[in-house]
Amino acid sequence: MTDAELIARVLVSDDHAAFGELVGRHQSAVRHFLRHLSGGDAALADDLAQETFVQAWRGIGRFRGASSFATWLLGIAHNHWRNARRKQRTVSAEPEHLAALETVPSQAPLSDLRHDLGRAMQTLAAEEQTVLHLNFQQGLTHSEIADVLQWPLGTVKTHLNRGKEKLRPLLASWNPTI
Amino acid sequence: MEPDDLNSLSPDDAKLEAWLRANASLPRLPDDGFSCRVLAALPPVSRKARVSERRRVVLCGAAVGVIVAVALYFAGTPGDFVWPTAGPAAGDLVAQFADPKLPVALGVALVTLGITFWRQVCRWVRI
Repeated sequence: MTDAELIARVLVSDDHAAFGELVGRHQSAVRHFLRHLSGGDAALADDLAQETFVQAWRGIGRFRGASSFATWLLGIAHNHWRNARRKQRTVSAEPEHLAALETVPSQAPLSDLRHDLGRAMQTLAAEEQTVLHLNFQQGLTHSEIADVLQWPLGTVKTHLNRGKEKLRPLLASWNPTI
Repeated sequence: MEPDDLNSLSPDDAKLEAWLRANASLPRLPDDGFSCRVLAALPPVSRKARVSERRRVVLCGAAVGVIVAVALYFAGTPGDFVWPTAGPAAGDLVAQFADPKLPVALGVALVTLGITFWRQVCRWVRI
């Protein structure tokens, strides 16, 4: 059954099973994205992901199908993360989320390549990291990234190009041809 | 310095992109009960469903009413059915009900209203 058919079932009869299937399909992308945004804080990311899906359940009538369901969900997730960060900032001056990357222990041993890639990514600006994450780790197109982040397409491309240029020398040891 | 054309990929860019796509993709996260957690957190069935259920019942009732009215119209000659008027003697009103068509129409209307507003009726009775 396609996403569109499952969404129709949710709309027509508040079908929990159909929505559960949608959650199962998209949980990985949403949780990965929120883990990225929250600097690897899996507990916070999962709480935000849960709120994201509950929000999606409430607002599924507003999904018009102009973008894919995954893109729509990632947009909601990004808004939730921004709101959470705003609240956190009013409570205490937390360090930028990127700094947390180094303090979060990884749950599984990373390969050397992944480790180096992660370290290289940390040297980039937050916007560059997010755009690269959505493009190369989640497989979104430039216009989908612009939809998710609510940024102009040109801004997305600029961050992407800057990020790639910064990564190039850092990853040269893995592949001299790049 | 940005490239002049952000849409064009140099051969080096294409290689870097291909390398990143091949090596940076993330493994799928196991669900580990996440979906169940989300489903448990969903609010109860929204009013939306109840409203649409009510709308269906009202539409069915209206359709039945229309069918009955049309059937009655074609069953009798025009002028057979006389609307009760205010003011006449009670005997006239009783005479109207002697015709089975009116009680049938009223019955359909009452059943439709009863089904449609069953929840509210139950709530009033409880109060």
